[in-house]
Amino acid sequence: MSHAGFLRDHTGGDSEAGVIALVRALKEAGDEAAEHPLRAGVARVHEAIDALPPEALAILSDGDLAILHFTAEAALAPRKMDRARLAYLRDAGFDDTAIHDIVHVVCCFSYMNRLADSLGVEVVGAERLAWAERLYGAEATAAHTAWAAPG
Amino acid sequence: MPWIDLPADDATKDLERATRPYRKEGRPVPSVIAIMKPNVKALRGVIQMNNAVTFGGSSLGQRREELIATATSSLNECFY
Repeated sequence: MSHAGFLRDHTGGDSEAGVIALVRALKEAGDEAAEHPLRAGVARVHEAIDALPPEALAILSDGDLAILHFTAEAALAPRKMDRARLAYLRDAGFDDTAIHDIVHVVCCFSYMNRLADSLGVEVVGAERLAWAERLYGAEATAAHTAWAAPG
Repeated sequence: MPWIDLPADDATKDLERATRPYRKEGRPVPSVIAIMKPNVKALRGVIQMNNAVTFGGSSLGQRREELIATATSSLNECFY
């Protein structure tokens, strides 16, 4: 969520509304994807990216959207990746160095996500919790706090 | 509180050295970094990799790195 904060602070326009809309759409799609077989789940995420609301689209370029589609594949279904899928990125103008770096960033944060979620790393601090509430909603933030609390 | 016991920042010389940059900045070790304190080699290695491919370390620029981080964490439903 600090990454969403960076995005909010370094994107023009009404970036907070755009970042919140983007995060909520992807979170909901990720949740639905987890209930489906791999390919169907990722297809659900592609649909969600294609249907992002205007406030989210306002902060994203065509290149950003290509990155989001590819990120869905690499984060959720890497075993289903094939050479043709890199076309998403090449068609959007990314060279091989950029493609390598996109994959590496997805890997890095997938790793950090697994570390945090497997060992109970929680959001701490009033300011960060307030941002979490705006980003994910009060209910999801309360659920996160309860998840991390001692049993 | 994380679900495993974590050593103090100064529990060993290596750990004291690895966590010193955060103290110099006057802030606690971020919790997602602190969780690696049981293995200081891993902690140091992950920080090095993070710096190489994120925080503006890649060819993508930091805004796009953060976009990917935001998307990956959202899809994984991770608060980080």
